[in-house]
Amino acid sequence: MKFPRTVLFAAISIVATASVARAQAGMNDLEIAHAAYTADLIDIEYAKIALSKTKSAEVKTFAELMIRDHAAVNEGAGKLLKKLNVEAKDNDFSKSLRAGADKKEAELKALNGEAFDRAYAANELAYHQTVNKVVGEIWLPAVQNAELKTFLDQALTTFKAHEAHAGHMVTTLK
Amino acid sequence: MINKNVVVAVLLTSMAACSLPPSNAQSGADAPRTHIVEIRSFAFSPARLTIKLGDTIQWKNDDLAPHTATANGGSWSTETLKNEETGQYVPKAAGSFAYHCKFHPAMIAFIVVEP
Repeated sequence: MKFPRTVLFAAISIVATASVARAQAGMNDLEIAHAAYTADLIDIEYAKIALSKTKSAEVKTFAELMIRDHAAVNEGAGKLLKKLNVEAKDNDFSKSLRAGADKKEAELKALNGEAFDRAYAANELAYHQTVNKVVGEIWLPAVQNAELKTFLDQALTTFKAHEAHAGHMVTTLK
Repeated sequence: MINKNVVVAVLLTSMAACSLPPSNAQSGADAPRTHIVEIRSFAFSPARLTIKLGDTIQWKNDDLAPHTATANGGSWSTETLKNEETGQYVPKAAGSFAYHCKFHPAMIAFIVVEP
């Protein structure tokens, strides 16, 4: 039985979200901050791979946007942590993000041309869908510190814009 | 008991304040004004602004992501505005024009410049 691509993407997202929800039960503010920071770094890494491989102007523009925006979000996170005089804390969820990214980066590096562009775009859409669901539905309600909550809310606005942009990129690269 | 020196100092300060010009020396009805446009949640607010020729538009970025205010067609642009940074522009002619963020082209807004 063959499923439409959109259904498969949705299914992948649901599975990913369910698993990450289990992986992060009981995370505190500093662990959430670390995971958010890690998620940003990973998307910057994906973008750097894209810039080294793509010949598509649209993919290049998107990758440059990811580097610019996610670096800005992490710069803001660094300032907030410094202001609060705390350090983000590594945790199992950050480690699982890292492990998943290592695998995905290896997959992307093995591709070239249009196959790479489509894979990168699909991954960006799925990644932002998953991260946005986690931030909006799990982290934001759980965070205790008001300033971190405001910060995450602002970051989510940025990531939602990326999700919409990635969706457009997936459509145009088909 | 009230200290007379303090009372005198307060009175002198108040008189001096009353004699000073307004902090914005161009506060007359026809004097050029500065209009603030906030950039928040990936949108310009107000999205449509009407100003007089000679007025200044100042954008303030409240988002974490960097933005610009860039004329459609590219005739002018602010610098890249990071979080909490501001940039400004004084239109050179009357008319209506659209602008956008060069990093996030879905962010669009309009300015009407009256003569």
